[in-house]
Amino acid sequence: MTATAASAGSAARSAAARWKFWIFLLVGVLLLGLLSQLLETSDTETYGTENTDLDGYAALANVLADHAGVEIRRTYSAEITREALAEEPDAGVVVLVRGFEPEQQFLQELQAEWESGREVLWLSADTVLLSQLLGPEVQPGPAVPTGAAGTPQELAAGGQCTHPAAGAAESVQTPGGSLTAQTGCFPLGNGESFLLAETPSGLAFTAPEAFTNQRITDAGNAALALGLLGGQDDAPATLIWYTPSGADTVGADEWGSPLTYLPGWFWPLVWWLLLCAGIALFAAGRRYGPVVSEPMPVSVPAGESAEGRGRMYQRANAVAETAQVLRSAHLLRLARLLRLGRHAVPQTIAEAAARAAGRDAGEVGALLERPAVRSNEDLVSYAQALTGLQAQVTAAVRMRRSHE
Amino acid sequence: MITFRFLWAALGASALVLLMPQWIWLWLVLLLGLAAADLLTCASPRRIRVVREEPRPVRAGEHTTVTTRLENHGARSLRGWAKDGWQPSAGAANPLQKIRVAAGGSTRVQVQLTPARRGRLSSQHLTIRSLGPLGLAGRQVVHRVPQTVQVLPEFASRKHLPSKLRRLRELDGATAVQIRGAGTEFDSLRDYVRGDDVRSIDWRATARRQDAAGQHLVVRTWRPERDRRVILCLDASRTSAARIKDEPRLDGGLEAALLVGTLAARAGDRVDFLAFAREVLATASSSQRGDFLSLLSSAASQVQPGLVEADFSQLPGEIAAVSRHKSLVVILTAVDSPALHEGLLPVLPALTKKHRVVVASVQNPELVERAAARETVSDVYAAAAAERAMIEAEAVAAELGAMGVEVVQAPPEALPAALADTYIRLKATGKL
Repeated sequence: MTATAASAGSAARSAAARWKFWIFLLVGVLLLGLLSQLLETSDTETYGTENTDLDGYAALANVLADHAGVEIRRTYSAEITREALAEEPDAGVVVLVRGFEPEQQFLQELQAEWESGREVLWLSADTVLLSQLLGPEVQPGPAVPTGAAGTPQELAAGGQCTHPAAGAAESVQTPGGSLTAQTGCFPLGNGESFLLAETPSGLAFTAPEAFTNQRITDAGNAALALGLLGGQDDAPATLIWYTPSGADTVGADEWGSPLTYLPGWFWPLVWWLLLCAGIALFAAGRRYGPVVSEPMPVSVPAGESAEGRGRMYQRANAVAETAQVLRSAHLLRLARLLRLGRHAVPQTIAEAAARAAGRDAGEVGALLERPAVRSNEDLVSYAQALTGLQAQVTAAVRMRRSHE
Repeated sequence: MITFRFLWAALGASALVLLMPQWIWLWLVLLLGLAAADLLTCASPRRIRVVREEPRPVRAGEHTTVTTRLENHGARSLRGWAKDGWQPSAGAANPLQKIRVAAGGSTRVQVQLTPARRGRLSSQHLTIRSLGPLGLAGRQVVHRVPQTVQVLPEFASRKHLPSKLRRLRELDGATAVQIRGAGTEFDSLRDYVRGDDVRSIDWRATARRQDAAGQHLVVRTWRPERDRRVILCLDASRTSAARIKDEPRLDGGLEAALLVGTLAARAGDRVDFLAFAREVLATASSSQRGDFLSLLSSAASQVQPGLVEADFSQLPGEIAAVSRHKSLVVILTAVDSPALHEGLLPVLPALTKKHRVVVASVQNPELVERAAARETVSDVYAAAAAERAMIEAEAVAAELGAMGVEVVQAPPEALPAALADTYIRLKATGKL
């Protein structure tokens, strides 16, 4: 038997050969993706402690770790922060608020921690959000004024300042907002708003921009940062760096989700029906063999050149020439119809046509010998007049021949 | 490969999921197990041998049945589907068929075709889908065994053939007084019947024929000349690709060539056909063995319009190679083409010197319609352009006529009959 289909092994080999390029491409892309995931170490988060870009805190974090011996422990949810607080009773807490709010309940716990003597520092440029979080005593204040070139004004610690770190820093230079509070450092405006405000829930610093890799060396920014986050001898050796994220708000719904009231079979059935949809795709998508192609013939409409020439006449507004073409066509046709021979002159044809159609010879002569066509309207009426004459002559000739 | 039955089974099993959702994995494993069992027990479609049977040529638009034999060389009986991969213009009515081939047995797959285009239409592969006993899953394999059916031109003008043949027969044996010419031949003597021309009475033969029974007038009869040569030259260059009423100009020319070729062959003339563009594309001759109509049809079925300029300069040489005697040369081309001045006109004197030349061309009826439309400004401009095209074609025809060439121009459906009439007239007047 001579087989008419390739054997299974050779079919698999030829399929592999056919798809070789795509298989290699897919494997290559997967490998590259995996490698880049493994090698990717840079932190791109704004104010991230490993971010070495201009908006990162990597410089500050490195100095804290290398010189002050501070270990930074990053957390992203209230739950884990709570555990960390329990594990490290002496550690300070930094709450970096960027968009997401922390849990309401955790806020109260933090307040209690602050009252019991733990260091709590709120870091955020969003003064409105901070004022909502920190209680009614705290209100958003004016922003740090900037100079003509966008350089922020340098702010002094101020007389009211009681915090030793601010005193040591003497001044800071940074863009940012402020909060109105009873006491604080780096006053703004009328002296009631502070960059570093003391609130019922802890210290609040509303210019986190000051500690970025870009600004940390300006004025007394570095001294303030080290003082606040652990430059002193009695500073805690561990810092819990809490950044509220979406994880906090997930479980915070007080309303029960309708999904929890669904019957037990609902989700298995949904998965099963999804599986059925997949089966439908595969069952309908398998076609019977390769796509069959049809070699198509060339297709050139024969009337195309005449049509194009007509458009060209119109675009060029060739009224006189068009009238001339129509006139000669009708002269030829009338000559043939009236059997005047191929070389009859227009005058003869006009006379014969007028006689046959029973019309005024002068009128027909004017039509066939001296077309007075100036505009497009003239052209249309001239063309229709020629058609009319032709029809009359045809009818007359036919009548005469049927009588003969 | 899975089937829709597998989908229905899965949807049916969703009732089980509804009733016992905790056992969803069991249902899944059960379903997959059934499909896997089906896949393992189906017959191998690779063990089928596909044998194509040679189909007979068919005319475009007619029905035919092509047969493929499937031989099962496997150990299991195969149940499933076969799909024959005919190209769309072959007009396959039932390319997908249910099949059942016993182990060691064979079956026939018959596909009905109604080809819409002439040429060689083919199916490059036959796909066999083998299903398991449950019909849930199966295997599919493509057998690349081609099958080609030759589709001859439609020859719609063959309806004219009986009437034209009758006219030819009327010439045969007619008293040839009115149409006597150099080419008519003496045929026979027969008794006078009422209605014969008295001038055709052969008095000498009448005198010899006298017998006791009475007077018998004898007339001479004539028949049209036979064994003349007709050469049909079909232009398959770019001008023949132009579409007139949804079919290429070439097809109109082909129809005319088929009708005149058949007619001339029946009338006892020797007919040669050649299609050319830059070189000769196809030839057929009535001196070949076999039925001339089928020879001509199968030669014509191969010709497709090419996007090249016709090389008329080779034409005298090709015609001389076919016949050294005086012939009727019919050139089927496009008279309204401006390229004719550079191509055909210079070689015509060489042809007309020796042969009688007829140029046949398919006219575009669209031009007449467009020339008559005079409603809007655009209409009038288009009408003028159409009139100009017709004047130019007429001028070319007049020029050809001045060179002693007969020109036949007609819309595509009327051209075969018009050309046949010209042939009969030339034959009747002995001008071949």
